Amino acid sequence: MQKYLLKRFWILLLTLFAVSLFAFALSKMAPGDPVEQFEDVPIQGSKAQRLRSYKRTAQKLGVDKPLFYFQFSSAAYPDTLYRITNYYERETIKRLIARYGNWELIQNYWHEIHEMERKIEKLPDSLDRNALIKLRQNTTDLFVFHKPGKINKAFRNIHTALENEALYSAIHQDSERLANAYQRVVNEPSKYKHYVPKFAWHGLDNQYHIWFSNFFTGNFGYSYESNQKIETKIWSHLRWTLLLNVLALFIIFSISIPIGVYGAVHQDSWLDHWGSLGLFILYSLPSFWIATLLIIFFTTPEYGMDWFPTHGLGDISEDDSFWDIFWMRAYHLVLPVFCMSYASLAFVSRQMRGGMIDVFQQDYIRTARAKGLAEQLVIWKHSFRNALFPIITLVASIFPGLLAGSLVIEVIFSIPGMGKLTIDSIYARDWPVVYTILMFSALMTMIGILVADLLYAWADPRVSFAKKSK
Amino acid sequence: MKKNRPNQRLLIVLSLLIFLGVSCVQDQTNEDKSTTVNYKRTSNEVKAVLDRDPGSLNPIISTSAIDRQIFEHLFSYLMVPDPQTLEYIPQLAKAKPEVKETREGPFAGGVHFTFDIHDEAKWDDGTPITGNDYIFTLKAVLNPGVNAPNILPYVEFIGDAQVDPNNPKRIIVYTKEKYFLAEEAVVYAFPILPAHIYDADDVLSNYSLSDFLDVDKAQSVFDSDEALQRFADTFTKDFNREPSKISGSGPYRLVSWEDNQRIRLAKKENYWGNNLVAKYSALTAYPDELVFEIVLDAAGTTSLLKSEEVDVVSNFNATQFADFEQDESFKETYELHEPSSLVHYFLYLNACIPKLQDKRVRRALAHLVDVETLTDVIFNGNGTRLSGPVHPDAEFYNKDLPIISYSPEEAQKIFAEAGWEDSNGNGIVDKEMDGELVEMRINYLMRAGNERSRNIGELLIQSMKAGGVEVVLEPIETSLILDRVKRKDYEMSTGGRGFAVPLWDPKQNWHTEGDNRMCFGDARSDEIIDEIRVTFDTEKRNELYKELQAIIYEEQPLIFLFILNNLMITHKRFDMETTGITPGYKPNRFKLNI
Repeated sequence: MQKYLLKRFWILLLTLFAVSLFAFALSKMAPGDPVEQFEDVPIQGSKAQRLRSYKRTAQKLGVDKPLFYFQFSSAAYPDTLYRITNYYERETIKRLIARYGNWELIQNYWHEIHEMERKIEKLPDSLDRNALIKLRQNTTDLFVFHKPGKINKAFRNIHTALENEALYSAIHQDSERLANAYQRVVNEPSKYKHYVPKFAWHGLDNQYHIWFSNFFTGNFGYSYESNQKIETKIWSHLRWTLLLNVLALFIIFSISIPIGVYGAVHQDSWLDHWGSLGLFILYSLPSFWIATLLIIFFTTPEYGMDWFPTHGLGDISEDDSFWDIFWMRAYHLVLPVFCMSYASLAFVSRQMRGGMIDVFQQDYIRTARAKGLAEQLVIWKHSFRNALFPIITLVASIFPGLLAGSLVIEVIFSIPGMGKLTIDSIYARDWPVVYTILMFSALMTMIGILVADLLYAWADPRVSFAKKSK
Repeated sequence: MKKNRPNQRLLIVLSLLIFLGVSCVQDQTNEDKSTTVNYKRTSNEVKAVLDRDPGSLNPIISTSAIDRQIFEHLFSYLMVPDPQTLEYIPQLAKAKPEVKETREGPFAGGVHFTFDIHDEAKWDDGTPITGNDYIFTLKAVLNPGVNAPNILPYVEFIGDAQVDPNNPKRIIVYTKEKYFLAEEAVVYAFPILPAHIYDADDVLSNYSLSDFLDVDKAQSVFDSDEALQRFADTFTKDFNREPSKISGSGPYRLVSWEDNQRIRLAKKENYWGNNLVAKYSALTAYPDELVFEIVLDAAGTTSLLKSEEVDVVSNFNATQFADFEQDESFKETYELHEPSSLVHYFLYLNACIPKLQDKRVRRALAHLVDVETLTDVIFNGNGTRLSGPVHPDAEFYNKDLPIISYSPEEAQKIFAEAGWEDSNGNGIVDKEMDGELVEMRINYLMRAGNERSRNIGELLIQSMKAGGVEVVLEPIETSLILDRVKRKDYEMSTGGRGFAVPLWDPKQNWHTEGDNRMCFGDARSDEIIDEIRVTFDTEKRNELYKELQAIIYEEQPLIFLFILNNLMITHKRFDMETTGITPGYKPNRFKLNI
């Protein structure tokens, strides 16, 4: 048994590692500029100011560091691309490399665009302003253009702008250098480099390591969005999800297990048939619909049944006693708990019923009955425990479910649970929160499976995890 | 032990029954029968609905627009915009600043503002609010370890700020250059924080403001001083939502913040501004409590209104709003308002691409957008049309520019003038460009999976088809739309933007050096924008604004659609006035009328 547990522990660690890699990779594949998406209001101000703000936010998000411990890519890509903080510039360079493969020449071309931009900034206002605007706009566009057609057009426009003599004499050398740099990129491609593998080591100062090592030392970090400690933020949501789920599970199991056992004992009775039908009807009603109907009919005076609160978990004031809070919470939880429970009644009771019917057909039950044991004893002592197998299998799924929450119910009843937190965090790209939730979900899934395995052994002594001796 | 089990089970079942049973008992405690008015809610507490949880109540690092709705009641600014006139009125300052041109010294050519803070103004612990608190807050904004992206652009032209050595309540702020929005930035870019609370170790006083105003120096100082780094860390992480930590000079204090449920503010008993309210309306604070209920679902908000559990809701659902308008019993309790918001919507046209380069083509396209139908069908008629990037109520709105009406005939006429005609009879106008026949087929970037975006796209297809233009919908992920627009890799897309009030600096969006994504602008428009920024004479500046609007109108880089009205509902026991400032109301100005 110990060996088995140790083995499972190692599998658990490996799985967590795989999940972390997977989650991290997926988050990095999300489209768009993470810095811009983080700001609710676009970064404004002068160009220098925008650059500074951009850099600070990039540092805060940690996107100014290499992604992983190492980089295994084609030789065309440099291992220092992450140092270009601006997302748009970095993406344009990546696309140019994908097209031409010659990083050194692209780097030179990039350097020339920056040089040209700097020179344009220093040009006096006395020059033809319209030509200057054209020159500046088309030069800046080169930072985001990667398609040859667009780049060539920008160069043509720069050429037209330089028909102005004063402007030409002020900047034509830089402009020619820039055009030549681009021509070299186009004329001297190194596409073969895409087929040459390259390995680069980035060390421990990388985005993945910082997060992963912090996670395993219990430092989950701070939410990007609210600057709250992740554990505080998650706990403030988890407690409601746990409460909802524990109550819902209690109701589900305490109602459906007796129903399932009754159905098996009184198989094909009218109550079994009608009961099953009723439960299946409940099962088929979507919870979001029922929840909305309940809110409409039972939470406002409009239909004369203003019996339940509309949303949330109650408004607790500083002076409320424990019991005030208890009843307030209980009152607010009735509808959401009902919505989370009713649909599962059919499923669990059918599982229980099926399990019991299987066990009833076993020889040892027939023997027990033949021995003249009381029916109650046969049902609860000899059959019930062995019929628990399908229910135990459900237990494995309960653990991650405890953490995951139900988004629909939480949104409709305005309950700040884990489902809502997860979705909000994904939309807000609050990755520290998303990673932590995901890792704990994975952990709970693994624990759930482990607990189920142990319960199998408890329910049926024939199940053993020790290696059988020959 | 075994014998007790049935009892235990019974206990559990009984608890559950009690638990379920209690839900059937309706809560009557909120009902106050003593009042003559038949309202369920009678308290002097304003309960407002928010549709999401704010991020942080640290006004310096906050990046979410919703945060200000809360923290503006906890902190005070030198001046704030008046909700009705939108003109700046004093809050912490005794009066409007004295503005003088700086003639000598390092900031010659700029201006300097002199403010006096109210003598009565004090922090919660009785410490007076002084100019040092202003300087501290400015240093915190400029600290390289504090990420304040929304404030930094406004303070970048501040050259220096000093406290009068003879009067700790007097601040003099110098600007590096003349800038017409300088006053706004100096008084309203950030609220003043208590230095002795937000910097308990007094770290920032070891440095002068000039250490932080010089960006390179600030970075090197920051990198070399661990205490400064610790300050930035604490400042960023500790003052966001903890009632015991957050402290300001506003009329309210934070009582509690239950994540994603509600935020409760209570009026301070000894608010320093109580005796000044008669003279300074910016210090108004009528309600005893402000409660912000976070309601995530629109149906939930409707139910809360029906059961009279909230006092104010803004940006309400248009369909449900129309239902409430017909509901007389609802209107006995609630007032319905439709003030104009400060957000306008438009269609981007990429004038950088050859087929949209001709301004006549863009004008013809503007004639092919049936904005009235679009507003009626998609937004329940809840919008006001506009002809340019200025709110029609603004004094510098150019009234000479008529709204461009939907007219396929006019569009076809303009297309013909520009050389676009249906030469091959396929119903789409075309033109030979660089030896190739180009059809007027326009790609419309829309948000994938967004029903409203698709409906707008479908309406555009219909309305533009009448003028010989084929609109092709290209649904992509929202974040990619921004990416494509930034790369000028688009033809047409939707956008929205807030109006800057009371003054507007067009540089960011309309100058060729700004974040201009439509290839708009020439020497004249740049010149006007630059001139607006240094013109202090209102009349002269308004003329410049109008000229700029005329150029934008002529060039038609955007097709201006409408300003959405803010559908608002407020409880009738309060007298209140709507405002154009988001979210459309000021809960601290809700006056109980029963």
